[in-house]
Amino acid sequence: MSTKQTTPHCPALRVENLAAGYQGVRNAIHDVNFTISPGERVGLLGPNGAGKSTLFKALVGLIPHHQGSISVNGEDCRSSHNLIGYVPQYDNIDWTFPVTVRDVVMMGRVRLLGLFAWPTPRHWRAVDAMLDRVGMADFRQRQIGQLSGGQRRRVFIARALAQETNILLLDEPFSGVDVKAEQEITMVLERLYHEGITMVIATHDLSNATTYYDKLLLLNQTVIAYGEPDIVFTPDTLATAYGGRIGIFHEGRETIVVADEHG
Amino acid sequence: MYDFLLQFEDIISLLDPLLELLLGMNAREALLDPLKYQFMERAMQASVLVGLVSGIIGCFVVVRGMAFFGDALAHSILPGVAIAYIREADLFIGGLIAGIATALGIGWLTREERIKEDTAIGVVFAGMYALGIAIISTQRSYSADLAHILFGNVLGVKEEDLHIMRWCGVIVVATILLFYKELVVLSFDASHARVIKLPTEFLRLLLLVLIAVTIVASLQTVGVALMLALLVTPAATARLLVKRLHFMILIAAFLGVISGIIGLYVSYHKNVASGAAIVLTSTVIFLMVFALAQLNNLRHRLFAHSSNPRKPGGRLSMPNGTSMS
Repeated sequence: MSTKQTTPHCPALRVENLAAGYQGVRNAIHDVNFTISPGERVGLLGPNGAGKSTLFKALVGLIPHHQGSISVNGEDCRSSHNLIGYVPQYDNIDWTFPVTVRDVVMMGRVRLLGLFAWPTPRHWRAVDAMLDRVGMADFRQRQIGQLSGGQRRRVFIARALAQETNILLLDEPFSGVDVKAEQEITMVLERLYHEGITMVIATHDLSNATTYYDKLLLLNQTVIAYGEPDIVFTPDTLATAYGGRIGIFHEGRETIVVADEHG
Repeated sequence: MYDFLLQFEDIISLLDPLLELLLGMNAREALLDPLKYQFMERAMQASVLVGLVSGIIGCFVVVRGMAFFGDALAHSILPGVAIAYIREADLFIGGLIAGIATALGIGWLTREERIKEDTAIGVVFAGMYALGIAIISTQRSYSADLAHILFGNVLGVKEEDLHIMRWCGVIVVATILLFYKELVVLSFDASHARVIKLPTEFLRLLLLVLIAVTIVASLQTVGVALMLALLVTPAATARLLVKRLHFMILIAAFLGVISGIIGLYVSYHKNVASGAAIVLTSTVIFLMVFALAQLNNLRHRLFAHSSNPRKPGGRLSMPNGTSMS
């Protein structure tokens, strides 16, 4: 309904020789290459400070990339109208801001509305449809601060979807929420996955990495490994990405990985 | 205005008992008769206009946490006004140039977070203010002139001033209407504004310039020192009452106008400085609404406790509550 048609041959996201950073650290990430096909669910793994958030910010244009290229649905990101949906780890949002859940989701459509135009009933219907997709329709008249952490995150997913994008970047969608909220977010992402939305999920959680994702992208300043989970998720590559700060235990057929994020 | 309002004497006289109690005169004497004087009529128009426009733009100041910027900008206008005063040029134009230059200067210093915003504001604000005082201090009538600019003189508003104020009001309100949804996105989540590729730098500077225009237009009413109250207080009051920004803006505009009218009458009847009277009126309204909101919150908490200990929304993180909306 809301996703745009893409040419089947076009990768959803193609990143070539990307280098980006911020003030002080010019090359926080460098030589990043990967291609994501439409509808894939990719796990972005790497230790703290590996540049996961930096990669996301470069992809959506929050920080400039001074080298390489990013193409979205086959178009260069700078000319592209296919905006990428980005669900950040909101840290500097004022939750007492006087907006309702519906208002926040409508913010995803501001660019689509165009200059000087006001939302029409059609746009409000689209917003309600997005809230329905993330299971937040009952909360649409609430002030944004009256929601729990998990609910806020689902609203931000709806805001990204309201951009009419088919690519979502989710930065630590499960961090800092309780088990119930995590399940609800998982259900929403599962639904979107089946609707064909391409997803890149940055996560600390290595426990289901091999089963949940179509592909894994192991990042530490640059791409350590990228591809099918069983190729990427090996003791060697993990040790390279996480340095010595990881323990890998084999117990029968199961592999247990313990990453020391604070080491 | 006097003749126009005289038609509504019946309605206005409903206030008779209240005014009889407060001032010992009837509504016609208290409210209509002062407007026979042309200086009062102009002062009333100016107060209403300024209350309206500051109330509207003040909502953005409040939700974006720009109170310090607003105060700084009001003070930074001083050198522009001072130079215009000495050269006998239009004070308004002088102030506007200084205000916009300061707004753009602070915007430029803080772009891409080179310098933290409050630091940049502090440096520019103090420098400009000192420059203004230095210029005025070379004049013989130093203290009188300074007092005029610092505290305003709404009773001295001229017809030309009113004309400029009207135009400023129209420009500010029209610009906000045109860019409303973009300004809301920028204010709520500037990162998101950049993700959806809005011209964030342009919007940020636009808002700064609109605040500058509002301040310069309001200067004669309350002066540099009290300008901040016109921007912040009605908006802060409105924020206690509603949970959506456009309602907040409507209420803030209304409260700004009401404060201007009541304040001006208080000033007239009680012989209080007009700027101070207007600001104190809005402060009293704020305190009353705040007290009511606290009471309402308390009532909600008590009710929620007895009937439904766990609300479906979970953690409530609104400190001031969205009561009454």
